[in-house]
Amino acid sequence: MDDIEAELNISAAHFDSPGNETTNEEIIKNPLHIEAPNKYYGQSKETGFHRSSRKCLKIIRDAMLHHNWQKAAEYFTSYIQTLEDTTVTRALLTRDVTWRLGAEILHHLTNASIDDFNAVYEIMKNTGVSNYAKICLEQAFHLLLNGESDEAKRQLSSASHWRYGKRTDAQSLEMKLIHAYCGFLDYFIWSKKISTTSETDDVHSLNEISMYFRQASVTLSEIIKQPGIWDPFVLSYITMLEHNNSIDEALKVLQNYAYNKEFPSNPNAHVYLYQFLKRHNAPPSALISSLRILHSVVPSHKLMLDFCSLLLKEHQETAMKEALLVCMDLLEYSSWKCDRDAWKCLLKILQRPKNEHNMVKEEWAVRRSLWMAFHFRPYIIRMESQKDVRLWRIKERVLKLLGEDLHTEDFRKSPSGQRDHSEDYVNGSES
Amino acid sequence: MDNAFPDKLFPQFYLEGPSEIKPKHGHGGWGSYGRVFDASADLCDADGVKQQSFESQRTVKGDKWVPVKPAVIPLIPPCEDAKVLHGPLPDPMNFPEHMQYFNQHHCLDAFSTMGRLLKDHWSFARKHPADVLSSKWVNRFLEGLNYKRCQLSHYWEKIRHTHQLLGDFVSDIPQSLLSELLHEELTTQREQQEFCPDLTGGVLGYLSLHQTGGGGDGCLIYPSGAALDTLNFHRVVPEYHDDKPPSFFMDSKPFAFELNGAIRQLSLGKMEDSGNVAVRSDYFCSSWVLGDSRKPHFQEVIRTKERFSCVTVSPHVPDELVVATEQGSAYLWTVRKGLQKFRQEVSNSYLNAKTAWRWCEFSCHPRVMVFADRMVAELTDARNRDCYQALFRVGKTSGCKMGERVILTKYLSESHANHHLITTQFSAYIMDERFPCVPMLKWDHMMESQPMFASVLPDTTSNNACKLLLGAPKSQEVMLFQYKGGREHACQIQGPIQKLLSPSESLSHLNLLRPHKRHIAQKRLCVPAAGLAAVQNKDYLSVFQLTETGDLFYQTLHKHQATTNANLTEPIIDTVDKDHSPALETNEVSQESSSRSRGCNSTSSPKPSKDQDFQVAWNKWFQPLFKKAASKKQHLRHQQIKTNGLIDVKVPEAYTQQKVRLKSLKRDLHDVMRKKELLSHGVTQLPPLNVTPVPDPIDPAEWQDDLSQRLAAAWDDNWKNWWDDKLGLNREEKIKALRGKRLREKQGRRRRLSLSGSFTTSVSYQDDLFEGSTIGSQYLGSDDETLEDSQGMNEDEGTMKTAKMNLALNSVEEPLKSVLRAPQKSEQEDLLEVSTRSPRATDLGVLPLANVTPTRQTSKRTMFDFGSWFGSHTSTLDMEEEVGLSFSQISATSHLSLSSPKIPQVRGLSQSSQPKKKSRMGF
Repeated sequence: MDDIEAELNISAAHFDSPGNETTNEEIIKNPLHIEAPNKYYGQSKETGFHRSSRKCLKIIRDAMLHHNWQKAAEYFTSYIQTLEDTTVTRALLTRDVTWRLGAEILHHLTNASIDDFNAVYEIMKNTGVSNYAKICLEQAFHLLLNGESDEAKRQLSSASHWRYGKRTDAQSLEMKLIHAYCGFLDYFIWSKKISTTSETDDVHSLNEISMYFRQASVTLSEIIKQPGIWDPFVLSYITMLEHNNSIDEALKVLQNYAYNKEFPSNPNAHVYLYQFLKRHNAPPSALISSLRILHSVVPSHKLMLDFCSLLLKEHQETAMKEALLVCMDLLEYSSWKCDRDAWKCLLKILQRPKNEHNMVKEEWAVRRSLWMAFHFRPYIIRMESQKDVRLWRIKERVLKLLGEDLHTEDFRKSPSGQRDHSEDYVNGSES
Repeated sequence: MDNAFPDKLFPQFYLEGPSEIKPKHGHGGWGSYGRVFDASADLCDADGVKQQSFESQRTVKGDKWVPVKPAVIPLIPPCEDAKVLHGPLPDPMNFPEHMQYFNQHHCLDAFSTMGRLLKDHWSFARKHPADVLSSKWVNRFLEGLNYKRCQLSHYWEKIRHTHQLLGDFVSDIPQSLLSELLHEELTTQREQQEFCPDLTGGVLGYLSLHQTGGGGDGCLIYPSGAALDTLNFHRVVPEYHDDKPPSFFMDSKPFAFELNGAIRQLSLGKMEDSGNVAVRSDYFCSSWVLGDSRKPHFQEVIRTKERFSCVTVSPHVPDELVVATEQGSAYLWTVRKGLQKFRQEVSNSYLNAKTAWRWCEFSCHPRVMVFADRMVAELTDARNRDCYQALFRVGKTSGCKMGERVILTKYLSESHANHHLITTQFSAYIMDERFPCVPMLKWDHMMESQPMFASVLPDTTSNNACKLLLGAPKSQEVMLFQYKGGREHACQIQGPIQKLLSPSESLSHLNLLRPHKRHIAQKRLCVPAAGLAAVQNKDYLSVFQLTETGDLFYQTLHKHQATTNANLTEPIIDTVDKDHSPALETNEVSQESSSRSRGCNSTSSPKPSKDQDFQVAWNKWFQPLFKKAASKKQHLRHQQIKTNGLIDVKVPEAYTQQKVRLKSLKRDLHDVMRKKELLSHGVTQLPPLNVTPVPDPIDPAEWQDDLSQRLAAAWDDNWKNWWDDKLGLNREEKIKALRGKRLREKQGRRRRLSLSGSFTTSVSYQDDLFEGSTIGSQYLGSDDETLEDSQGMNEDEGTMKTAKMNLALNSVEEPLKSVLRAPQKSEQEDLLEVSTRSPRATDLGVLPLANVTPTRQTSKRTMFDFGSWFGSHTSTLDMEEEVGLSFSQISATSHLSLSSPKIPQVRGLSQSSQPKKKSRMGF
């Protein structure tokens, strides 16, 4: 990999003659093999034009970083000349840079109109082919954000038919995204039409609706087969399937989205599945199993409270134990530390019949040291007893149930010895 | 609430494996919206039709933060004993020079041990005991070290022998080892200058001492001293006003503790009423605690043999810390309870990287830690050592580029309980630990060097954006990022990245300094940054920056409301322009003499009160620096040696004379200049000027070649005539004129017939013939040299040559010559024959023979011939009058070959000067 190369370079440099300073310096510059971002486009064969355009770019960049958009715009008008550069490698970079700078400056100029944006996007996406898909996507986003979804749809569908051959991997991904967003917009048209047309409408509009449905479902089902995070797409696809009463299909899609190993462990995928199951009155065991998997992925998830209450309904000892574990795990996360519902849930579990007492003791023995420092240290007790009395009451009862007595516990341990190196370390004290 | 997870995330591909995207340019943070999804709240338009609205991952407009002052302001007086490295570091390959310097100037360090051992057996004294080896010759060698000398002199021979004998062991540290180490050190110094992972995390912290945070007193914790080994707890009282930017009042003296090692990192943990501070040195980590009512005091220190690479204070439980060493062990350190190792990673997770950098951070769960190296950040459960999960991995998923490495990880407990910041050299990522490996947000941070410090400011109200500050040491850059969400709503970037002011830029916003002072100031301000801290109060954001010299600066930014959009950047531009205005140059002069400066300042700058404070603060800061520099200069005065008595040389009289002369000259010059007169040389006592003589007039007659003649003619306006003559265009006119002349002469001769008269005419006639012949002159030009050469030869050669030439020419002009010549018998005869037959030719040919060869037999005959020819001369002349012109066609060639030495003379006659000829020819 690149580090091996870097190392080889360095060893080669050692064999170099000592007079060969430049190579030595170059290699020493990146000793830890941390590549710095390319600030300039290579120094080789640099002409005066390149030099001045580089300086110009630096000025624009500084102005933009200091949010001095007016100045940046002035210099940008000159910088556009670099598009004339015929050096191939530079030209590719310049197009990308020009597009990015131009779009950003336009965003911040007060007098920029939508036509200006369109001009920038249209010109830049057609200079060279490598940026076409990316800029098309951005243009569509721009139109969407400005409420011109029809125009965006038109742009996307024309872009989706664009063929040039595969230039980069990123380009094919961008084309997939273009298709996906095309379908996404179809879905919105479909849902709009569904909500406006009544069931007794004419055949034509029904045909139209089914056409949009078909287009959207095909593209969306296509994109959510790719590993990735497709929350909005999945949600819209599921809505469509549910509308079409294909429950099994929807379940399959959701299960694939949640459990496919190639996909990242997206908590939302589990949430969607759980909500879907709940919506379609699945048995509690199915709900519990789906939440159990969620617990293994995200033990601090908000649905863990639902999980606990579901488990509590089971009336089994194992379920009770699981509920205790889930709840205690949950409370160990700092984001749940002061959550009254979670403490209530724990209290409810602890108040159950005594047969699990052993189990509680075991768990508490493991967690005690952490909990005492984390939840029950004197300062927290003092603060909560003053400010959030209701929470404190619950916590107090929990503590009592866990078999601890606040008053006997000596929280404030006196500082003991262990000053091994202190004299060695601190030479002088306060001056 | 932090326990909510966004119900919908922005769409994104998930691709595993190493990335193949090459880093291209540093402008990726602009122009893109990221991804878009539908906003959850559907808006209805006027017709009641649902209008779908969309949201982008990156919103274009964010809060606008505008600096209040044009540059950063120093907060504490400069640390006076700080070292500023100046100039580029030496090339590691120059280590022999350093070794030589060490051996020569630190010889006691280099050789003292061996010297002590050898002391009894060697003596440098003149008189020495018999059993001791004398080496008084060494003295001379040592004296000579101060000069450059020939290395082959005989002293060196002995030294070489001694070196061969003792060289291996005479130095305390073996030379090979020392040089190896030195080279290594010089190399690492360079590396450190470029990128120093030791400083990750920064050594500046701001701890607000009030429980509510933000509002009340605070404590700045920073190191100082030459080696940054003094830990300072400096109490700060910020004063907030609604309409004015906050001002910070520092306590007169900080609590300072001198530690046994340079401070590399500070980590702060705000815990209810007290704050925990962890300090990392190379081999020590210490824990300190302070509070509003508690003086900072030291708790515990740990020491290892391995270098520490990280220490972090727990945000959850007081007195809990994690430390990581460069060997890859990570410990949970509970103060007064000891260390618990929870992770040991001998190898790097990235096979080839030789970096020993390890980092540890806490996470939302107090017993789950983030353990990071350059490639991966992993969530590790301290209770179960084998249980870990990648939080971030350099790869395609996070949109990483090739060669991307983790520089810093930070748990953003203040802003979101589940968020972590990961920075690489290209990007900054916000990771949610509930959804590992997929970044919630990603920026191209566009910084010039790697961001190693971070500070996060949580959103004070739910509407506000979180602010994230990243700082890079080398370039002193500080970038402000704003983002929102992460709870119910997905994370969104708010507005473009903003670059904050850095100390090194501040000089351009100050009054101009004199160059040497400016140099000192620039040097001081350009040192790498060492830390970053920030504090926010309502609409004011104050950022503290620390540099490696221990200087502390701050800047304040003010949030502009959307209504004042139009004239947002004006305050900055205003002041910047003003500072560059030429008016300030005059201002500067008065500013230097500080007492008089006030009046001038107030008149020249339109914004006196504000900028004045700013300028005064900087002036005050610069003062000790300049003072120190000035005192240093006095300390290093030149050594002065009195030479009055040393040099006793008689000054030559001429020297004193000249001195007097110069003095008077100066005086004269002054007088003259005052009177506005001229100073003539004669008045002064200067030595006479060297007058260059005017060159002699040029006689064009000296140059006889065509070109010179032509040019000379051209100067006399005779150019056309010359050509006419040359080309023979005016021949007929001439002939006419000649004839007329002859006629007149004949008529005159009839009156006085004499031999001498006829002779002159024959010469002039010959002359005319030459004038008329084109070919002849051409031949003349080309053969001139050879002919002249032959002049100096002896007779034989000369004749031989002429004969050869004759032959050659014969072939050319055979027809003509055959008419003239009889069959050849011998050279001499030929010559004679020709001379007899053609009187015109012999008229020329005879003369050389008479001049050059008196010794020969032939000469008699020629003499005789001469006489005989002389007699017959008159008749030929007559004859010529009829035939003459047809003869001229035969031209010079024939008689040239015969009478070569004569020719220059003839030419001299004919071509010496045109005007003369004119008069002679009677034109």
